[in-house]
Amino acid sequence: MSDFEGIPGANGVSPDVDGMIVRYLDGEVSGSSRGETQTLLEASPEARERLEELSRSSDLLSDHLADIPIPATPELRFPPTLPALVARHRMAAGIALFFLSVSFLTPARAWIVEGIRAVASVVIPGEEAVLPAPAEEAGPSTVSFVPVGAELMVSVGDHQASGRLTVVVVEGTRASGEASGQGAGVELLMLPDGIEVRNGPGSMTDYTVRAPRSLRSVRVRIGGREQAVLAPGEVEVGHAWVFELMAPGG
Amino acid sequence: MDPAAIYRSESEALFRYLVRMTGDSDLAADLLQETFLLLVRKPPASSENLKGWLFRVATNQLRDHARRGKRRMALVAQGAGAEALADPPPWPDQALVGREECGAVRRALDRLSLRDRTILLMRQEGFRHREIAETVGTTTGSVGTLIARALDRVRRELEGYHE
Repeated sequence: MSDFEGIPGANGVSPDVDGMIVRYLDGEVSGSSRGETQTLLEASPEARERLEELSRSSDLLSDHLADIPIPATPELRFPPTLPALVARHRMAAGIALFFLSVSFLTPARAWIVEGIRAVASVVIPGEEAVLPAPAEEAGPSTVSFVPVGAELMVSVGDHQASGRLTVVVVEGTRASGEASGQGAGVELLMLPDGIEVRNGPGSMTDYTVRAPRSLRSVRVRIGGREQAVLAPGEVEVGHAWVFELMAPGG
Repeated sequence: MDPAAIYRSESEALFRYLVRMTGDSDLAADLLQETFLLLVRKPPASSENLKGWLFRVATNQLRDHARRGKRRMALVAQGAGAEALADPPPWPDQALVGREECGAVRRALDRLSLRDRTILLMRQEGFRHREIAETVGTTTGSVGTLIARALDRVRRELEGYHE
């Protein structure tokens, strides 16, 4: 019986040779290495014995692993989205519908929508709905908050006909988003991971996102595809990245 | 990238790996969910070798879980006094023994370090040495030697169990 604790290795075979034998067993050698291993195995009875021993150990492990009962793979359980929560909880749905109807009459629609999300998280204990902490007053088409975590996602919908997204690095801990100019169906939403810009077909609006320098990264996703990962901490305050927005075929 | 489709194709192997790693199907299920949650929230830059990425992330989650458990146990031991410090509760491996029916191989796996268990069980799932090396943070060339050493330990445990 071999004892690997005692270097140089089992059956007098050195760890280097052990490694070579395992690579040979696993099909990890090619060309000259394979030739070297085969030469060694032909010349050394100890190496051949070690090959057989490791092969048996490997088979033994495989056989025993097959005895471990594996339950059925569980279903995927992503955190519930707002529509899923509303569908499952009628009371929350009623509150949400009320706020939604009011929200169309006010300029602060984004804040009302976020309010619904917060209400849903309170009404339904145990259903996590982490939201960034609002930091200051925000007007129409503007959101401002303290990001949760060290990463911020800036997501832009795919209907934008033209415009520009500017991500600028700022001091402090607050992130903010702002839409300038007029856009059709333009919304800025504060989400747990960052800011989402929703825009109607043909909208022409510029957006500015102020990202705190303390963030590790800002991911920019446009039309569902990740366009860039920015590192605010690696540039000076005031540094700006500019993305030209253009809908497919727009 | 369609997380649901990736889940359908990769979750079975990953869950099997995690059950074998932990000996605890509930913990394995939680780690599986956390891994796919990260896939959605922080997807890899490239979809190349997604399976390797998932196993790497899942193994890191397990490592973090083990560290948190050790910290908790250390705090409990400090609060309980010197007797507890002299014989701290085992975590994560031995504490899992008994939560499910443990055979010889469970005992053998539990006695391996997390690194050696990762190496053997990733190899069992058909990963190349390069991918195993990336997961455990070593060189590709040393993986063969580590596998041989871990196989020796497992064989000794299995032989000892049956004697």
